[in-house]
Amino acid sequence: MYKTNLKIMMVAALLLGLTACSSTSVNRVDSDSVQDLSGSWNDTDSRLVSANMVRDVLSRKWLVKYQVKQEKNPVVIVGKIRNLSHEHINLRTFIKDLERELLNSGEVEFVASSQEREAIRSERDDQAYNASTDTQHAAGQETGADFMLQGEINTIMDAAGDMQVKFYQIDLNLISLKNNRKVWAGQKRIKKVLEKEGFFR
Amino acid sequence: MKKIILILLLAVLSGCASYSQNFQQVETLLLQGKPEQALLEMEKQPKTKADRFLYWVDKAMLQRMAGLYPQSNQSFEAAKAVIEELDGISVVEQVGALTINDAVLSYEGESYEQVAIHVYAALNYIQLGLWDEARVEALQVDVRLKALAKAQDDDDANIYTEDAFSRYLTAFIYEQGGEWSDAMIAYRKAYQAYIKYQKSFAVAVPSFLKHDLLRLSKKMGLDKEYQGYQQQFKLQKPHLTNDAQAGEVVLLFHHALAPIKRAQEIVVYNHEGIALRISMPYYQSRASRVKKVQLHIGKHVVETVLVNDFDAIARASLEQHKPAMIARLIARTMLKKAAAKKAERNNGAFAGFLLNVAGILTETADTRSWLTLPKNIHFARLRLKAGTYPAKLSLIGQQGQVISTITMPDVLIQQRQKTVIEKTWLGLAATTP
Repeated sequence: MYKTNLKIMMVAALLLGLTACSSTSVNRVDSDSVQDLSGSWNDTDSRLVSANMVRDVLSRKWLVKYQVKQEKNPVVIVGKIRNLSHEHINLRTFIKDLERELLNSGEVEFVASSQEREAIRSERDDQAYNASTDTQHAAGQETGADFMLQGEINTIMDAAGDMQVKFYQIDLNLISLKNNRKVWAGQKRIKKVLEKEGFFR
Repeated sequence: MKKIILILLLAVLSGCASYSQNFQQVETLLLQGKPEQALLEMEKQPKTKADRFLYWVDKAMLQRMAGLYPQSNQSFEAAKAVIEELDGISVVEQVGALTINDAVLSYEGESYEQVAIHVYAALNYIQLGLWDEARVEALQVDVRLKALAKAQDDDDANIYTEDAFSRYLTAFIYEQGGEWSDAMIAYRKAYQAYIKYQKSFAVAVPSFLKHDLLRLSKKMGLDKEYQGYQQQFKLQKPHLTNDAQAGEVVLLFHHALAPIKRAQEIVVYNHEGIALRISMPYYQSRASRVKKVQLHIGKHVVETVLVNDFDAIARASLEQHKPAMIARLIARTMLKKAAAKKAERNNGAFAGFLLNVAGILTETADTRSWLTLPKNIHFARLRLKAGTYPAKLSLIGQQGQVISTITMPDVLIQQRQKTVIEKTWLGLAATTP
């Protein structure tokens, strides 16, 4: 009789397992730690690529040349970065990472992006009417950018069986707004090998 | 008598109404043109883990019908994650499917349904003006279709090996971005796929595609290919207008709903010649009232052609699965019968009887499919000078009569840009049976 009981219990447990509910547990981790879940583009990639490429752009000759000739730091803006990859990549965080790295280097000056500029202009318009004359800021005194950073993200995918290779190529160009000349071209590649581990396959 | 617990459990598991039955109320609201309320109704219905793919894709479709494109794409992403996750099916579920019924298996979508996710996600991005993101979907379609083609190698019989419409859609996503060679490759793939579609699903090569092939091969200087198409198509006046300043309007008309699966009891014989009663799904098509659509835009009129037939593809897919499905159902019925016999021998006639009843009760056909897909898609494209045009649609019935006229919002055509307009039409509520 015990045996029958045990069997039925096991079947019941198995069936219940099919409909079992799940609970969520949250662990806080250091945001610098690497967590690869799906093999897709993630925060680590965004951070590493931006840091790496900004280091590269600032170590090249164009910067010293400009600083010597103009006797000031160049003013840079981050323009459009196109996502031509297989994944929906959050370009905003990538652009923010680039901006932060550039700005904190102290080697270049930075102006607000076109969206940010709009907000600031409307605030300035508002000041013209509402702020006292000795505290308001006049229009027409913005700093124009000297260079624009542009680029694209491409991927190549290859898969066979349970193996998958993802190859990311990030190309960035720094272009002079004065004469459209490219002063720097940078490239960073990431290769990820994914192996799917089937459960009881 | 402990067996009763087991039987109760089995009954509970199969107690819920089948997926296609639950859909009735959602459909009623959709036919009344109330996608927002259909969305609320859908959220109220019981959800099961096994059906989560369908939950997300149905939700995504209702969201896009309600114009909630970003939310719709979030739902599509969730559906894609389910497919990824189910790539390795857990053994627990498979045991369940073998001993209870197919509906306890997690549904990961038919191949054509998985491809349709990318098609509708891309259309959502186009509506949002995010062509680069639509391009991401185009690349993902390519990856999925490549995987599908690879899987075909061991199974030559499969009828759905390429997706013609998704190739066509990706072609004009590339074209919008000025990527001519990628566009040309996609147009060619679409053409090859439509030739197969003609045979398998009675969907002909769209006339627009012929013009596209001619236009682009000429533009790219592929003279031999261009001449080849000329001889094949023998078009009276190919649309070769190289008016670089012109824009283009593209109409997608999503007509009615995909077929719905119903359960049917059939009697089959196993290898010993014993009659077995099994429950099989079959497709019930929705009424098709619209044969084609006329787009009136400014002074121009252009007629649509059929570019995708989910109804035909769904039916063909089910036919394909039938032999394997019947074999599985026979195996399961025999297992259940054997279990009942054993219980009768060990625990008496009543126990055997109860298990038999449980076996029959839990034997229901798997009637799951993506129900909010349209029955088919009609398509037209027309080059126009930049400007704003008033637009309306005339729906033409099977006998050539005008069923209904729909006024569309004014269409803004910009230089060298494609303007995609979409209409989802599920039928006239009052006359739908």
